[in-house]
Amino acid sequence: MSVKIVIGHRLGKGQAVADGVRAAGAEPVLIPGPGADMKVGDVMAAEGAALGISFCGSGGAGAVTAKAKYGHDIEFGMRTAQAGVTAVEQGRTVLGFGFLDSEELGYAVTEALLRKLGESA
Amino acid sequence: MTPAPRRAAEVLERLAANVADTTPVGAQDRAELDELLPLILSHARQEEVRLDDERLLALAVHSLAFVRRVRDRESLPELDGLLYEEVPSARLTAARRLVDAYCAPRSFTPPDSEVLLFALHFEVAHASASETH
Repeated sequence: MSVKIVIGHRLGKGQAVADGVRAAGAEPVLIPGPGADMKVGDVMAAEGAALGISFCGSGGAGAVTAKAKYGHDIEFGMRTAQAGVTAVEQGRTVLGFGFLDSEELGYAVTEALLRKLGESA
Repeated sequence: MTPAPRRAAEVLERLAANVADTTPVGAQDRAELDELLPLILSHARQEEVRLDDERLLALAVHSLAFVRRVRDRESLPELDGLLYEEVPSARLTAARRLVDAYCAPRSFTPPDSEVLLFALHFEVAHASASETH
C-alpha cells in the first residue's frame, strides 16, 4: 500500500510539492481550492495519510488546527525544505510552511518520511 | 452566544495551549492579541460572517504571526496579483480597515499581502457558510 501525503495550500496551489512527493515515491493527495490548508487534518483522517503539509502566509493555521482537532504532532512556521526534513525526522506528522510551493520541498520531505517509516518497520 | 470579550479570551487560551511547545505565547503577544482578536470578532460581526471555533483558532494562529511581524516591522513579500481576484473588492477594503485599525496606532502600514491573507480567512468562512446553507 502506498504512503499518502496530504497537501493543503491556502491559495489553492501545491502542485509542485505534489509532483515532488510523487517523484520521491509516495502518493500525494492535493486538496483543491483556496483555504485547502484548513482541511489537512480532516483529509489525512479520511485518507489514512502518514503526513500532512500545510501552506499559508504564517505557516501555521492548518497545522495547529490539525493538532487541536486530531492531536497531531506538528511543526510550523517553517521556511525551508531542510526544516521540514528535520521535523519529519523528529516524528512530526503535520508540517506548516509559509508559501513555498516547490518540487524540492515535496521530494525532500517525502524521502525523509519514507526513510523514517523504513526504519520503524 | 458567547460575548465577544470572553470569546476572544477563550480563543487566546486555546491558541496558547496549542502552540506552547512550538512557539509559546509571551506577555507581549498576549497584550497585542488582546487588542487584535476583539477587532477580528467585531469585523466578523460587521461582515456577517460566522467564525466557528476551528476557524477562529486558525485566525488566532495567523494573528499571532501577524502581531509579531508588525512588532518586528517585517513585511511579507507581495503575492500574485491574480490572487486578489479571489476576494470581492468590498471585502478586501473591509479587511484593509481591520488591519489598519490595529496597525495605525503603531504607525505601521502593512503591505496588501497582509490584507489579502486576512481576507482569505474570511473568504473560507463565507464559503463554508455557503456550503452549509
